[in-house]
Amino acid sequence: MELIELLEKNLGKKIKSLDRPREKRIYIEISPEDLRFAAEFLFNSMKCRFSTASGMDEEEHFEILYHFSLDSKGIFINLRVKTERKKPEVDTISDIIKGARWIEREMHELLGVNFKGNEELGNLLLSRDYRGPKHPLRKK
Amino acid sequence: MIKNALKKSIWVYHFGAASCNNCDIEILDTLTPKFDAERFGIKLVGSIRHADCMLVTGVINSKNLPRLREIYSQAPKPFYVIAIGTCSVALGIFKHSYNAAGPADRHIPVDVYVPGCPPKPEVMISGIVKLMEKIDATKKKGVREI
Amino acid sequence: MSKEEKRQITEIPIGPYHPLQEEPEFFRLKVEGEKVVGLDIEIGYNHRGIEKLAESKHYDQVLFLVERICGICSTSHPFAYVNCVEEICGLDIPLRAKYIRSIVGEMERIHSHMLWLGLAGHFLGYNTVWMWCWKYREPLLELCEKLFGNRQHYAMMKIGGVRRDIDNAGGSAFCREMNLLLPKLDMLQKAIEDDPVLRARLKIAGTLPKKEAVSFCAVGPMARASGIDIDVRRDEPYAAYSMVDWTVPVRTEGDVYAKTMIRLEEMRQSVLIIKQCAEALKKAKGDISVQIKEVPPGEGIGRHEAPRGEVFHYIKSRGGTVPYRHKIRAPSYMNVFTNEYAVVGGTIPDAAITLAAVDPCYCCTERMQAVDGAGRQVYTSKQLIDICREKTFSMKRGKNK
Repeated sequence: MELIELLEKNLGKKIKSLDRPREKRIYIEISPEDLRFAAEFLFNSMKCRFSTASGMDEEEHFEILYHFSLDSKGIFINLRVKTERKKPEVDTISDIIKGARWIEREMHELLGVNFKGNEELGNLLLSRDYRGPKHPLRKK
Repeated sequence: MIKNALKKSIWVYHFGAASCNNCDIEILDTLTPKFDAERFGIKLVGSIRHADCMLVTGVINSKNLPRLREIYSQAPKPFYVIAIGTCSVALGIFKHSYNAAGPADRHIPVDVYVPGCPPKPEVMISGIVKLMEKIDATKKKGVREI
Repeated sequence: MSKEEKRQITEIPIGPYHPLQEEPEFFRLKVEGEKVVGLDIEIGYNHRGIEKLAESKHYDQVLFLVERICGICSTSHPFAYVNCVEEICGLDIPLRAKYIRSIVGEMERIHSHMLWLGLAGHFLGYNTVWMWCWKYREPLLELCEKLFGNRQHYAMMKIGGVRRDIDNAGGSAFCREMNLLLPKLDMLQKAIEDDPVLRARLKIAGTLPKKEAVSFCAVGPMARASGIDIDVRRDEPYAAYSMVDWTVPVRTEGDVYAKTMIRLEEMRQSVLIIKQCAEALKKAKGDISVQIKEVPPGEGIGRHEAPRGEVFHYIKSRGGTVPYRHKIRAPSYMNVFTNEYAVVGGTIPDAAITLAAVDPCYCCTERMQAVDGAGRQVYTSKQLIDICREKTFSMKRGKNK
């Protein structure tokens, strides 16, 4: 339980809910405003590796899961951020973690989430001639 | 059959569209000692302008379609196309993808289809040799059949 | 930047459809004289919409879909995928299946690294290395075809276990093939170590320091060559990896030579793992899979240490027969990005081998748009190969003086 205590001590009230369905999987829900603080703590202080982020359309809202890996213990600490569907927007973490730049671009393109502060959002995967559905990862 | 094929050598250019790369590696595999495609006069070239034939692998999507058309237009005529692998032949498992622009023959004329996922090197060589026979046959007739 | 300085910068696109790299992606080098001062990366030529397709396919069908994400590491994605689904189901697979899965995963690692080694030799002008490496791959692929059903795209993974069993004769065939492979690996290693020109070419190219590798979140041999000691098989063991003895090679130099040596050592470790698993299989009794009736609601993460690094799959299930959301992240997604650091500051001939040292599996990943610039100089594919090789030849000539 040491890890949980460490997380609770440092993230404190920022943790809206903490779920540990398995020993090696921790899901922490935080508000979008606290994302940068939490990401910075996990990446710089706890030396977790940022693996990737999963953006999804949950119909009533959008949800982004940031997957951080604590390699020394084989544990994943996932930050869950929910944002409203009408104007999905979250702060960028690409200045804290260089490796997050592309996944933010991808989520912006395929899901339509805006990452405030990321100057490089633009077409990543789809070409200018693409004629398919806009933001294809959205549910109809 | 082999005697006829060796009358002419064929220079092929490989165009990999959105491919899982399996077909592409198997194409390069045909050059390795075990299959040795060069003994049939099949040579892989790096520029479309030197090629008689183009091997297309992978799914044609919105991004590589303009490149495919551009490359095909740069090819010296007469020119032949072989669609290698199920993706370029018929899309296969990617049929309903939002980014797929149809199988290769929707955009350029295809002369030989080599399905498979991936087709084995022997099958690919057989496909190219079939094309060489076809070219030989049409040359005798004096017309190019599509 | 003054007008004059601007004029001197030339842009050299490498790709797409460059014979040095069999996959389409676009690197735009910005060059001043012989030095690379900037790099733009554009991908997107391989985007097939697989994550969206997965939402409309049954869990069993998704297996065949993800297998075709990448041809070279065609087992890696199914491996991570089944780990993910089995996590949601809370499933533990039979012992035999664990050993067989590890054998399949390691066979793939060997043939993938051997492929890369051959291509690297080709880029540098050592075509004999290319032919040897690909020749040594052939018996491995034949064995895979005999025992798994196909040279690649073996479809061995299944939710709950594996699809085909390996009997004692098969296990012995693996051991025999591994014993034949070891002296070939030694020979290749010696060939690289003993050639001072090759060593020199690999040592000066594409150094990625640890700090940068961490910042870019690099994985796999890319990370291990820069001193980051991570390997999913050891950090969060799955299949049979905790039941056999093996080690994770790590180096600190971060250059292409380190990456090459790590891949060679990983092949040796894979040989060890396969031999131990094949032996253990003879004693492991039981089924090769368990039945699952349905995937309950929940979310899961599945990973596998592919030849290129960590493959990551995340699935959210709302019950039912299809995944609600399937996130796939391939290792090259993180690794290709490191070129922004590793290539800049080097020369054009070194750029080609540095880009290739990432062992990019672009079919696993997808990206970006480059901007067309004025004053663009394009080398043809033949010219780029010649430049890359010419450096090797001139170094050899210089050495022979």
